[in-house]
Amino acid sequence: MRPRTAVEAGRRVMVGIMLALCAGGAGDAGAQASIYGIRGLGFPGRTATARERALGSGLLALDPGSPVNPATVAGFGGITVGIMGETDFRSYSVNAVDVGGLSATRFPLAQLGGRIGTSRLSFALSFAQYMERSYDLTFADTLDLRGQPVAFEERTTSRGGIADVRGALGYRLAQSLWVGAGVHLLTGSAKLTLTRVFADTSYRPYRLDTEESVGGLGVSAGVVYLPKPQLSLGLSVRRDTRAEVTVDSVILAAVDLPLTIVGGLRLTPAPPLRWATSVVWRSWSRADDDLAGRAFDTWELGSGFEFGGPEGTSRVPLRVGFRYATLPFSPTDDQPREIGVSMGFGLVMASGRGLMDVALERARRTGAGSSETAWQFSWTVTVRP
Amino acid sequence: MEAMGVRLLTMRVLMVGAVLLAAGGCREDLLAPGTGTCPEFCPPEQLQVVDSVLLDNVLSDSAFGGYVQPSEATSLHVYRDSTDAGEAGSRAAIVFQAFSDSLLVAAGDTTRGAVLGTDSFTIVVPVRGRNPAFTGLEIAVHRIPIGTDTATTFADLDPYFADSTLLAVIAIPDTLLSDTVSAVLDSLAFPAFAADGNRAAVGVALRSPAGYVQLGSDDGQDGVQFTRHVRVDSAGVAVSRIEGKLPSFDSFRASPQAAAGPDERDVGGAPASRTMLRFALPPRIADSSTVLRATLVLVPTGPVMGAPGDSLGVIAQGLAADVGAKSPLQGIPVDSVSLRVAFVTVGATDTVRLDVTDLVIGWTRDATRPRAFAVRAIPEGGSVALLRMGAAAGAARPRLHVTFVPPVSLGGR
Repeated sequence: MRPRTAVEAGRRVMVGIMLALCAGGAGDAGAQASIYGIRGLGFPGRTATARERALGSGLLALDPGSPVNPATVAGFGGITVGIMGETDFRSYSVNAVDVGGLSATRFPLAQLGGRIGTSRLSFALSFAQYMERSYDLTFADTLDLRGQPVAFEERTTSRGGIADVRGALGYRLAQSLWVGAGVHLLTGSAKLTLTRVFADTSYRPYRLDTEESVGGLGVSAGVVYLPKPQLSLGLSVRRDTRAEVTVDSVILAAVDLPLTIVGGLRLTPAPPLRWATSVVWRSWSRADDDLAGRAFDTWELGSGFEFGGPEGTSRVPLRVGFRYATLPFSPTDDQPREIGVSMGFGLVMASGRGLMDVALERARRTGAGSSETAWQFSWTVTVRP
Repeated sequence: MEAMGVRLLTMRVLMVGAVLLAAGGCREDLLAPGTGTCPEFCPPEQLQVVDSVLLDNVLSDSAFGGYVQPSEATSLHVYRDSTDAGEAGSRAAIVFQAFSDSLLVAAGDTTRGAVLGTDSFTIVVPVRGRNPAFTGLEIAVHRIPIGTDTATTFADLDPYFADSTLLAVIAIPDTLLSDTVSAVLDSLAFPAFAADGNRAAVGVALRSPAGYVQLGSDDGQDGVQFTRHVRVDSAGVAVSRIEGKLPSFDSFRASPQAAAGPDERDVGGAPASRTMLRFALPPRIADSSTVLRATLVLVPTGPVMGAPGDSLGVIAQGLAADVGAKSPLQGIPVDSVSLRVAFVTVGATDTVRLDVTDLVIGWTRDATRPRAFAVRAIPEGGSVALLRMGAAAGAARPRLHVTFVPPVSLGGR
């Protein structure tokens, strides 16, 4: 009995550590995500696990590991803990200036879920990145002061973002019909700094530090329908309120958040081969009047193939995917776009109690006179103790 | 056994995950700053820099004199400026300590021998600065009354700078930067020496038509030295001895200058003058802006007066409290003095600009601080040069040139 007790205790300690790290890691997502995240509310976070990313986000409406469709929560068996990490390497080109060597690591997603007792009801608590608003920009120019040209260098930095904390319940109405609902708390902050240093030291350096906070609420509902063993269908709708941007205790702006509709299917034509596709629409144009730049409705289409895995014969499922998305915010009337290809694999351990998924994506973003490319490496560790 | 294996494997996965998270979760990756992204991809808020000359913001002013008297100066300013329009100048006046009637004959003696007679005097004059633009300079040493003191004016002394009182003429080598020059005076140079209680006083003037020298002063621990060569009775034998004395009073007197008009204020000169300026800072700047640079602009109403080729250091200093002439001044960090002082050359009429950025920034941060400057010479008494500038009520009133950033709110999108 003693060894068993020690193992149990150790397991609980490790799960506790993971949960603590999940909370801290996801909250510290402070690195620059994209040049397309400077305007607007930031760069939209992708609430897709490494498995989904390898599939081009094709499984977005059906994966219980992703806090998108609350109906998928009903798919949890026992307690499940998942944490995701992501590292990207970026370069961009704008105004004939090429910038490379940018790198950032973040923890955009963590989730705890499971079935409540032996009931048909399941729950999930998740912490995901809704928007990332981190950047570090320098800008040099010359200003005419007191009849003399005075060179200066300006630096603008932001560190922070908006997190999406979701509580969701899923219920199995029938073996083939799941429904779910979720409540989303959007909360976040960013430390903003603006400095300007003049070449002529007669002018004192300027520095402004401030902190903005953003808050909002959202609700979501969804359904998963499994008409046949080879076919899964998912649909979810999410409505977010206006996000209030507060700077130094003053509400600076209120930005309309979008209505989100996600639909997807998974087809298993010949096990262990699976094909998943999803479509996402967000009404970001609602925020257009609230922003200095432009905001557009966005579409996202993802599709991917998975071969092997728990439902097949291989313990190492392989995945490939493709994704196309339009981005919500732009400084011009040209809406940026993103296209990506991805691949990855999963590792099933301990009879399915431990899962590690890894994805590698190559993304290219264009629009508004700029282009950006990125390698994105992500991983998800899922434990079902 | 299988269940135990499952748990062990689960633990390993958890440990691997925990290690990965711990490694990554504590680190913020370094980001290379983006460049070339503006204006399209920069945040929408733009930093505005406003340059404003506050023309009518001097509330009041007041000028006070006598902060450093010539007799307290660390050097004696002697100059002469002869032009067709007239002559101006400044002369030094030095009264020496009284010599003794008896002297110790030898070191260690306790008995003193009576002074039998004076053979000669030697005067050693420390020259601590000269304008190299003027060459062939000569100083003239005159005999003046021993009653010369702080109340003695230039006009009072003027009759004594005549040929009849001339004791010596000393040439100042053109190569001299800082050294002493000396002259030997006859024993009869001071006819009233004994009647004056063994005391002597000399005046020093520049003999050359134009030039400027600074002589050491007693307050500068470098006063003129005066030595008497005497014969002393040593048991019936007359022996030669010397006795040196330092000034009991030294000062200088400049030729009178026209008094400042109602719309004029003085800075510098001897005695040193200060002008207090009180400003109203617009609420837009005082309450919510960030000052980048502030310059006090002073408009001279005429050429800077003083010794030819001399210059005057001028600085604006904050007031710790505004209580009139005796207002205590805020301290200046030593390394800031050179940044805040402006030098004006005698004869120049250029606008004077003084950096007061730190002071105006202080005004924006502390509303209780007096929004006033004391404009003064630095060091006071270091020059006879006088800046005469426009008063607050006049057309040539002082101005405050402020470059500032109005409030900007980050967080725009």
